[in-house]
Amino acid sequence: MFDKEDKMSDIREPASWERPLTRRDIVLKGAVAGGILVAGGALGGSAYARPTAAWLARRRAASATLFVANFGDMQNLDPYTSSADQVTGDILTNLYAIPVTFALDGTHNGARYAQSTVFRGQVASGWKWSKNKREIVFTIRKGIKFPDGTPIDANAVKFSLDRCFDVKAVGSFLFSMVGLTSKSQIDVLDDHHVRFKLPKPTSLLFGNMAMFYGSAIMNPAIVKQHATAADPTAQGYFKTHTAESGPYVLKNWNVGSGWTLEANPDFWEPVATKTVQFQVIPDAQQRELLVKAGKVDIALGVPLKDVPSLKKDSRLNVVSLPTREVAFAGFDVTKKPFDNKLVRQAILYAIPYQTIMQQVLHGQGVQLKSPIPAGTPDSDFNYWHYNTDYTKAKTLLTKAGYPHGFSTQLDIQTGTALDEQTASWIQQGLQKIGISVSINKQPSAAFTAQLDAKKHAFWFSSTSWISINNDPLYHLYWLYDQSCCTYGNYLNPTVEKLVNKWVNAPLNDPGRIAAVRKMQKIIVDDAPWIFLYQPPQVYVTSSNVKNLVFYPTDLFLRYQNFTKS
Amino acid sequence: MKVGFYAGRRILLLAPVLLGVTFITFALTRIIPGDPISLIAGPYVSAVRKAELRHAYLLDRPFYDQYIHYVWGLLHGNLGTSIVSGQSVAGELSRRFSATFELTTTALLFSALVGVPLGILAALKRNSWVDGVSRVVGIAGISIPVFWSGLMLSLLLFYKWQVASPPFGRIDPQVGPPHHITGLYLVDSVLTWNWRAFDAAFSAIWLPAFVLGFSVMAPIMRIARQGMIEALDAPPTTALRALGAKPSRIVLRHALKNAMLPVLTMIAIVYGYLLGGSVLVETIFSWPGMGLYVYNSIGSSDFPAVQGFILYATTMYVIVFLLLDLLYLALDPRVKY
Repeated sequence: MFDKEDKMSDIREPASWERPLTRRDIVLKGAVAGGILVAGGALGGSAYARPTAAWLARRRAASATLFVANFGDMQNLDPYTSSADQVTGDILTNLYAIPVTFALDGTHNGARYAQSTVFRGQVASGWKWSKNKREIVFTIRKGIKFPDGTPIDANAVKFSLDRCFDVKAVGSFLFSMVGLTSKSQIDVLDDHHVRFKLPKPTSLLFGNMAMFYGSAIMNPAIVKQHATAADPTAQGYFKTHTAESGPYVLKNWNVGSGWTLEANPDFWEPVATKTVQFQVIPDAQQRELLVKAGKVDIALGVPLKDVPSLKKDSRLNVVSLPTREVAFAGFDVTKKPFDNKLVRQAILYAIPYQTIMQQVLHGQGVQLKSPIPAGTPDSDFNYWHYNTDYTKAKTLLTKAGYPHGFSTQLDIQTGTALDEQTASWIQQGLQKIGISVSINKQPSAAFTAQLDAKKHAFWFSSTSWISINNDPLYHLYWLYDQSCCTYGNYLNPTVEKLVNKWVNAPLNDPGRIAAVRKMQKIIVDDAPWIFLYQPPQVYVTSSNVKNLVFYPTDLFLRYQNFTKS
Repeated sequence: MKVGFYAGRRILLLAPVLLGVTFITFALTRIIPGDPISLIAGPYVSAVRKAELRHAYLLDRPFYDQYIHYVWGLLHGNLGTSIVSGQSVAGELSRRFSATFELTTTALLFSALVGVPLGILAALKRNSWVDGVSRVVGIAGISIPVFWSGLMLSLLLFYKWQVASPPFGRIDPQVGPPHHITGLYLVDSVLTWNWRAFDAAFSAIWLPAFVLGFSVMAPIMRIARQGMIEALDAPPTTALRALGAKPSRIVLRHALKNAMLPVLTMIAIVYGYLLGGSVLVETIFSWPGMGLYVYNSIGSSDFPAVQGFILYATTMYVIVFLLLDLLYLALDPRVKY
């Protein structure tokens, strides 16, 4: 074979793979690959050189628009049946007006704050309680309209609240908490007056209804138009459509990519930013690059670990504010070994709280030392006595009958760095007292389903709970009294009795305040949770974006306040 | 005619395959623990109301009943509605399919147009510097994770040097998508003579397509090299040479055709795999494609969305392989159906 080839090579030109590489080779044959590479590069090069100039021109023209890099897409847009996740809730807050909303406060920590227990009228211009506090009449603002020109009057308000009861979602449960169990308790007196009839006086009414899922005013014309016999409240339609009454209307929604809000010309409050353009940017690093490069004005969902370095960037305004969200690890107090109070207390002594605050929260947020978070009236951290003390923890564990510790499993959700890091510090702390913890990561649907069914024995989520009504008894009512949310089956008879006795009493009633303190003492001592922290809310904006207002109750932004220079 | 029969039979065979797939995914999604209702209803809602919601989504019915209902819907072209977003699954899949299809096709075109010639060249110049370069490129493509290369290239090309457009997904939102015809922005913008949209769509796609294409170039290139070496060393090639055929003709007309068969198989495998969406590249470049959609849907146990996606992915795989087999028919005279 080889002989033959050798002989043959005398009478023919060597094949291309046999010749040494020549200049001609490179030019002609190399062009097959090289040419494509170069052409590809040139094509790319010319294409990417052009849009930057065009982009800049377009950006200048569009400077009246606020650009927001968001971390996810919107889901179900029906204000009453929405799951009120951070992305959708933020938008629905800006699309729907409500009868009463939060009054503005002053400036605090470099950000403007909204109140959480003081209210102002939005659709309502005022209200009047009856003498016995069992009736309230709202006066509906005169001359206000939906974007299609139909009036927002008492009938529209009644229609929207009726729908809240009809769809039987979150809002109706919040109304029933204050005694409004049926839509017949709400009636229209005339075009501008709506009356609520309550079975007993309550201090919780405004706080329970001051969000879109409590009392969003929807355009009745649009709801009626899309109602069908099978779906009389048009829930199917409103999953992807809107019937706005608020500062903005949803101009377009390119599902998966982004959406645009445009100022509602008929809205009666000032709207400083006319257009807000949202882009879904799932990667946190990219959101940071975009805001640093000035391509977007606001980046949402910025990881806590990046806050210290972003704060050094003079082009940015970084706001990291403590929230009232309670992040706790829960025990099922009916399951062994967590049914033993000494075991729970031992665990609370073995958590490296300071390390978690530094390593996981990077010095932001607040360490939680009571079931009621700092920022809620009558929250008191003085009953806390669990500073990290491994010797004390070990002694308690021995006293509880577990001198050699035990093995257990901590359930968390996948995908959140905050949860995974916190769980890992819990694991390391408990290892020091002989408790071996395996961390069990679950998809969010599985985790939540198990939480609802009260099947976690030991679990943690950094987004455990935020009480939308900033009232200490509202908070304790849901987490320590109602069957829905006592996930760890901890039910203390004294706490239950006190909650039910005082929940609707005025906030400043001395008896109520004393009860709230007493309950905190009992719960901290019983240790049904590992009280961990109140994570911060982070907003990163370009330095030319001004007037961010922080709403501690729901953490949603009100884009109408923003100005851009 | 025979080919038509063959293709028709294969398409008919798709039906039992898909039915089997729907059954398996339906069973699997329900075995995995997780309840979408808890997630969408939120904490305050009572157990009674949750039961009502479960009833509305038929989740309280026995498995076989739900399955029959689902298949009945499928037969009527109804893939259902996403429990979480409320969007119709068919609508969402078709939107996301065009995004993934456009990105994948561009990426694959890039990797085939660069990988195949580079592989052939490496075979022709065995153990030369060309071979060395192609090997290094191949290894780099396979071993550098895309989330790293994607982010680094973004950092350099977009943030530092400003030569790439911002990672806003398929098109600059200021330009907006072109008029919908095929759903592929590059194609639609050409069809409507919308050069501004073409420009924006191209400047959005080239970087993610490069990152994705680079990551799958190695197998294509290596197979092309291997196939070419085998074809050049094969007895027919020797015979051709003995008969005095021109080397360029031997390579381009005879060896290339033989070398292309395994390359096509590899391209089809890679294509089928990519059409399922690449979660990482889509996440980094905010590309609203399949990968991200199904990833989120699995996390929230959004049954109709997951089922719809798997049905779609299976169909794509079967179609891609059918096309591959038809191409084989054209290229390889030994293959007869």
